[in-house]
Amino acid sequence: MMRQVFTRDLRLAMRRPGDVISTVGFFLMIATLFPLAIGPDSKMLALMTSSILWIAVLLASLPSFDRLFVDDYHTGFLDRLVISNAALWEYALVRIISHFCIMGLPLIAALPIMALFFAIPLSALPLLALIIAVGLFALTLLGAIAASLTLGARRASLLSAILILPLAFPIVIFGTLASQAVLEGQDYSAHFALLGASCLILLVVSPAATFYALRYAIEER
Amino acid sequence: MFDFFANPTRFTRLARALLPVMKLITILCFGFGLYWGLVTSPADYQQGDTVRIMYIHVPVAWLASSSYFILALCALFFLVWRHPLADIGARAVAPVGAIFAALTLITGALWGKPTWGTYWVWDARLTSMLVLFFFFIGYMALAGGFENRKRGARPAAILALVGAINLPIVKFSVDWWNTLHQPASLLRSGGVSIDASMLWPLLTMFAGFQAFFIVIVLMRILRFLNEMKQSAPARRAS
Repeated sequence: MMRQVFTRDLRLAMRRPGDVISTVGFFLMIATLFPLAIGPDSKMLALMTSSILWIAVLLASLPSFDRLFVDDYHTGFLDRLVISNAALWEYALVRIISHFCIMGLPLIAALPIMALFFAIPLSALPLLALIIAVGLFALTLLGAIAASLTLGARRASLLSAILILPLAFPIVIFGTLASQAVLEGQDYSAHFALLGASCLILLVVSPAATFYALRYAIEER
Repeated sequence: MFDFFANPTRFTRLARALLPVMKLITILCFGFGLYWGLVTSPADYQQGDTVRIMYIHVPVAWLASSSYFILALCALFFLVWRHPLADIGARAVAPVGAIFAALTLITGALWGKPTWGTYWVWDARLTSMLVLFFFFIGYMALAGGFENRKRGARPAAILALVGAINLPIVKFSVDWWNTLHQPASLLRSGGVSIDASMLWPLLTMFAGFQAFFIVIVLMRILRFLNEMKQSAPARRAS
């Protein structure tokens, strides 16, 4: 059942490549804003590379979280899951993973372009991709909480952004510090371990909170 | 014990009895504490008279943090026992907490200008108080973000609990990121590191603000209960 949800999500994404393309485009556009706003001085940009990357990742992924549950909420798929007593937390986890694969991985795939833009050495790229992937997964876990809590609310997308951002501060802090350390060739392990720890805590909290919020949203429809 | 107070009628009666007492304590403590703190207590040997901001800043900061604790506690009670009074309590506390957090930041900025030479620095404690303020804003936005007021109760309670789990992580991460603020001097191992001539006015102001907080929250809860009673359809006692 849950495998079907996963393959369905992938198939839908294949059929609507525009969603992914616009997310990646948004990602690149945000990154372009920084040199335009700060100035083309490469030394200055080199100091800010990891901050620019993380702000671009965070802002580019924020609007995509709205799509996590809204479609299944409106089509009635969620109601059927509740009626058939399916494990909603499992559904939430599968949606988080498929969303990460569909929206998160393309951003990671776009990192080489970022490496060109900001003169990131290619040798640092795999590690940087790993750090950003862990951070993106943690962000998706947060996004699931916010998306499920705001189902049926007024101005849900603005609301969910307001909920996600303060919760995402630790991820941004550990993420930028870890990638900064990688870019400078220093020891990144402590920051990266803390980023991983935050991700693991969210992995425990998020499916449970999302499950309660989804069930309540369906019951109160 | 929770069951006992969960009855709105009993709660109202209790709150009505408690309110005048708390109001009296507020007035007395503020009167004595402000006179004591602003006039008779000595100036700091380094900071001069600016140290007197402490008598507002520290109690307000303490209340801002404890407001979130109360908010999370109410959320837990609401999710476990589903009692509307817990939701009303959380809704009553949230804006008060937000205002106290804002007051902490404002008094801190006013204190920072003469002592650090700047209104704002991106220091760990300032930033985590700002994050706390954002958490209150997020809670209020979600609790009031639905057409039907009751519909927002449970999502907001879930958010408050997620926030309560996340707050220590935020605090830790921000400490990891930067630290400049002076460490706590009231509650720390090795005893209190503040002179008695300053400690007593500070504690009086603590008591005053605590009572003030209880007065505001109780008044807000009573008002919510009253609104609910007026909007509820007339029901016959069975």
